[in-house]
Amino acid sequence: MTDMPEKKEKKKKGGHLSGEATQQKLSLAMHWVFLFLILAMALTIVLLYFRMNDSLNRFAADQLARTAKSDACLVSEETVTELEDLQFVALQLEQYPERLQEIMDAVTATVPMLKMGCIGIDGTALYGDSLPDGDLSLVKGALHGDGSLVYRKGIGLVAAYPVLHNHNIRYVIYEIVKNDQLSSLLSNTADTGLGYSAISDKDGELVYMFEGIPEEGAEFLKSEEAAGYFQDLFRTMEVSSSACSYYRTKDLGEIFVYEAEIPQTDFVLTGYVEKRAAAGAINRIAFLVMWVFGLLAVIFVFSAIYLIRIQVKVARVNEIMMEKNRAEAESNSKSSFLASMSHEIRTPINAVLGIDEMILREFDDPKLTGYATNIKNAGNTLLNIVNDVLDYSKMESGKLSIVPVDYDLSELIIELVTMVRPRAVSKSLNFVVNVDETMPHVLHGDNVRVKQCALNILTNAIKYTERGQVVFTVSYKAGEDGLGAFTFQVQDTGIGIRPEDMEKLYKPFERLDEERNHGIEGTGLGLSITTRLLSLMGSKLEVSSVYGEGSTFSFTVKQYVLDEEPIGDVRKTYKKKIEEAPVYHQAFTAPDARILVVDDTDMNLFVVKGLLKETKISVDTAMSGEQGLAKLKVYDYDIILIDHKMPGMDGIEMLHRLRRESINPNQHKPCIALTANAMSGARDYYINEGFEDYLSKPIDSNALEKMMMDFLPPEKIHVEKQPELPDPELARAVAMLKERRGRYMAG
Amino acid sequence: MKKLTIFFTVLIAAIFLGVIGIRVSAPEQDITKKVTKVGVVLNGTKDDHSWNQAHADAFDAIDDELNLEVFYRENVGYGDQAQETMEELIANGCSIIFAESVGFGNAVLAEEQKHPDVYFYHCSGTRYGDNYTAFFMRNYQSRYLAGIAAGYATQTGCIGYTAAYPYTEVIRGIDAFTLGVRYANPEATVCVKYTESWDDYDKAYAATKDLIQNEDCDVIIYHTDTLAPLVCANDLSVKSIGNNYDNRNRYPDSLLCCLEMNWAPYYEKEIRTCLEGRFYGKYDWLGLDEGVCGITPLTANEGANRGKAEAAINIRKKEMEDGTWDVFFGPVYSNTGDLQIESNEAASDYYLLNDLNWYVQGVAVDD
Repeated sequence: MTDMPEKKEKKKKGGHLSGEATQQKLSLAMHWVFLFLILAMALTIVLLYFRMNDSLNRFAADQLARTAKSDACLVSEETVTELEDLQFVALQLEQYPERLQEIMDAVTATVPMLKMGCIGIDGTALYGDSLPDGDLSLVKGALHGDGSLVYRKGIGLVAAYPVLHNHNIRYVIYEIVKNDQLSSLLSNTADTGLGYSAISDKDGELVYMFEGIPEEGAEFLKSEEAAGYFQDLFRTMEVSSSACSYYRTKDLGEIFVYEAEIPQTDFVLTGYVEKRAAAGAINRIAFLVMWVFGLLAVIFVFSAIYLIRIQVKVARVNEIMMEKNRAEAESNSKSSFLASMSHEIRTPINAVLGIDEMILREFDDPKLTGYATNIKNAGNTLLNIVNDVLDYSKMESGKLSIVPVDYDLSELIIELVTMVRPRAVSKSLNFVVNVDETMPHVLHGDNVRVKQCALNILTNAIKYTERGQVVFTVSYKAGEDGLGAFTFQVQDTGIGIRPEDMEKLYKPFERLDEERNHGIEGTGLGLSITTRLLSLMGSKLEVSSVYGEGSTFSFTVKQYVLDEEPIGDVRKTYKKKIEEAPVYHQAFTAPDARILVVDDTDMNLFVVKGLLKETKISVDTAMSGEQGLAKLKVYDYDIILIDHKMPGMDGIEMLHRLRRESINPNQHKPCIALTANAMSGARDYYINEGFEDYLSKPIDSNALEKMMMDFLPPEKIHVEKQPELPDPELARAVAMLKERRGRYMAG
Repeated sequence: MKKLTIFFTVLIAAIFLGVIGIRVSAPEQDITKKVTKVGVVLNGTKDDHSWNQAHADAFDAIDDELNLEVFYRENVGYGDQAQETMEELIANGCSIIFAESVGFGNAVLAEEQKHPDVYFYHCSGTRYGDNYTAFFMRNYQSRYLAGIAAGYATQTGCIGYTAAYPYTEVIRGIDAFTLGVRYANPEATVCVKYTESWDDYDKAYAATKDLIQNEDCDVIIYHTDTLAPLVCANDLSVKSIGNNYDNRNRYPDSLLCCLEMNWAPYYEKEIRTCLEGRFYGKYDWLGLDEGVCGITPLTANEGANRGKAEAAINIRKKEMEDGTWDVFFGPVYSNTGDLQIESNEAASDYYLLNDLNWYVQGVAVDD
């Protein structure tokens, strides 16, 4: 397709718009082409019909002409027979000249209807009558010594034969066959099936009509119209001795008119035959041909249309494919950008927080731990901001996704409360929590995102409320198909929002009342991320506000209800859960255990070592896949932690290699993948690759320890009694923080 | 997209053209549209003021109208040369051959066998077949009328007849002439001298001279192609009757009248028939009544009896045109006294053409 590249060019330049215009032009062109095709076919069919008809008629006419010719020959022969009869008589007369009278009497008796006689060389009648008008030209040939046949209008056919005496002509015997007697003479030729015939002379004068011609036929043959046709034919007959043509007459319809010279006479056989009778089959042939051709034409046109449309479709599909590829490429590049950004940004933060944690654990000096705590807070804040920005980024490139899991609503609520209450308290705000005690709490949905949205509106309420209260309400309405509608509502007595500012709410980076709200922290991304998340979850943010009095933010999400058991008193439910849940502790030691950590960033290796210090597990490190494999060949390890993304040989390749090394003692040891960029389905992915599980970076120490507990040989694990932390609330908070960091499992 | 459109357009155009173009060809209507090549074989030159020129004149009259290209071959001898000439003409593309002399008969017969698609016309021949026709004029009728003129003109009662060969045609001519002479002048005689050549000038001149000087003939008629007898008669100041061509202006003091021929109507009719594909071989003997032959009007040289001569000529002419009488109607006696044709009888054409070999009363052949 020669003009395709052109169109592609246009598309690149103009984007969607020019694509449309091209489509339109294409469609229009197509219509013209179809129209043209159809017209051309129609015209061809019409022409074919006429041409074919002409050809068939011509063919039939030629055949008839030949038949006419042979019929004319027949006529000729028939008439010549008369002469032969006369010749016989003449011979008799020659032999017995004196018995003229006798012989003639006998002969005339056999054919009384015919006029017969004998005339002398000067025309005197020797028997019978002399010739009509004494016209000797009637028997001229005979007078010169040869039999003769002459037709004269008004007289009839005159046959004559000389009667010789030695070499001289004595007299001539003649016979006159009148017009009406000709039919018996020519009786044989009447039934040739050649329609209706007549005999005319060469000037077109109708001389004799055969029997059996119907009334209208006779009329026709005598008509001016027929005379015209015969003239026509006679001209054709200049080049042949017979001719036939197809004519359409008004009286007789479609007929073939023919003429054939009667040899050895000056007459022509003329006549006509109806097309129906002569060549009815022609119509059948014509019809058949037209039928078939018509069908072919239809098939042709449809095929043409179909083919053209396919071509167009193919062209379009190609265009679409190209666009799709381009979009995918773009998307992929964005994804990898985000992924690498994610990794790049979080790695140092992970290092800061991790090492900071180590400081907090290993040192008692209050000043030091004070500084370390500040660093921790700042670090977490930074992490939050980074996560917000990354989320926003993902949102913009459509990479934000909902990851439903099973969770407990009471946990979610308590975590929210725990996070928010201290802030409210610090601002002397009254923080009220209302929870519908009848609602189910074992749910399936993306708790992380729900919590994120709820947290956002809660923190906003606190941020923008100077005095009064913040009321947090969670209510429930049962739904269909196992879903329930959960409404999270936050009502505050804050500064409120002006009606005209409502739109700006959702705009990223925009802060309302900049002057007044100048001191309030935050990136301004929260609400736009929240609205995006809510729309992904099939919900939306409801806002009502009175400027100066307060605002109410709420949203309703549908979550699958896994258990109808009502939540009851949230606090009590939570407390029960917490007491069963592990708080920070060193649950075990494993001094005989040995693990290998492979990571290209030595900071990460340092962190892991630090986190596991208290467990007394021996931690070996390697900075690359090759180093790791080398160490694996030499030492026996219980668990191997392998970083996924490493330059050169990556974690997966290293694992595969390890699994292939049959002489390696660690060939089948459990391997855990470490990744800073876990997406949904990561666990399955790594298991598929051959890992036992994975840990998300920044590494959660609880998770790490749990992993150790799960995969170390049981005999090497020494469990210790867990010391209680002094402040259960604090312990819970710490646990919350750990959990919070863990949410970045979902990326 | 474009390619497809082009493809379909071409396909349709092909179908279209096929439907238009494939047609049943109608036969050519106008036979004179094409040039027809005609070969004319002459045993003399076409400007001989005689037999051959008469034929040439006829073709000249019709060749434009019928779109003919006429090829003349002059001085063609009988025998092999005739056949070779005809071959050459046919090879040249001639579709009709006119052989204008009796001696070409054998050549015609041979050639017609070899070329069944060529039409042959043999003038003064007698045989015909599928693709050849023989034709002639009833010159005897003309000679009869000339005989009347001679009979009324002669003072000495002796009319000289210089003739080429003694065969049917010539004898027939002599007999017809003599019958005419006798009709006018029952006492007159016709002296015949043969030259044994159609165109030998000297022989013809000598024979004529002999007739005039030794036989006391004062009217000369001849049956040769050469004009020698006329020249001689003119030289010796005797009356003469021309043959084949109207030469009255050339010998104004001598000629009484001339036998003449007009082949144009016949040739036209026949050539048309050939072109129309309606030819069939026949024998055409065309007479006075068909305008092919006749005599010119009498000149002043006829003398005192001119009026009578003309009247008699007209009577007989009319009778011949009516068909109520012809030259060889009986009674006719040979010069040996036999009644050859009885009264109320007429010689048949066949006989006249093939078997007439006796002389009528009044004929004296000089050996």
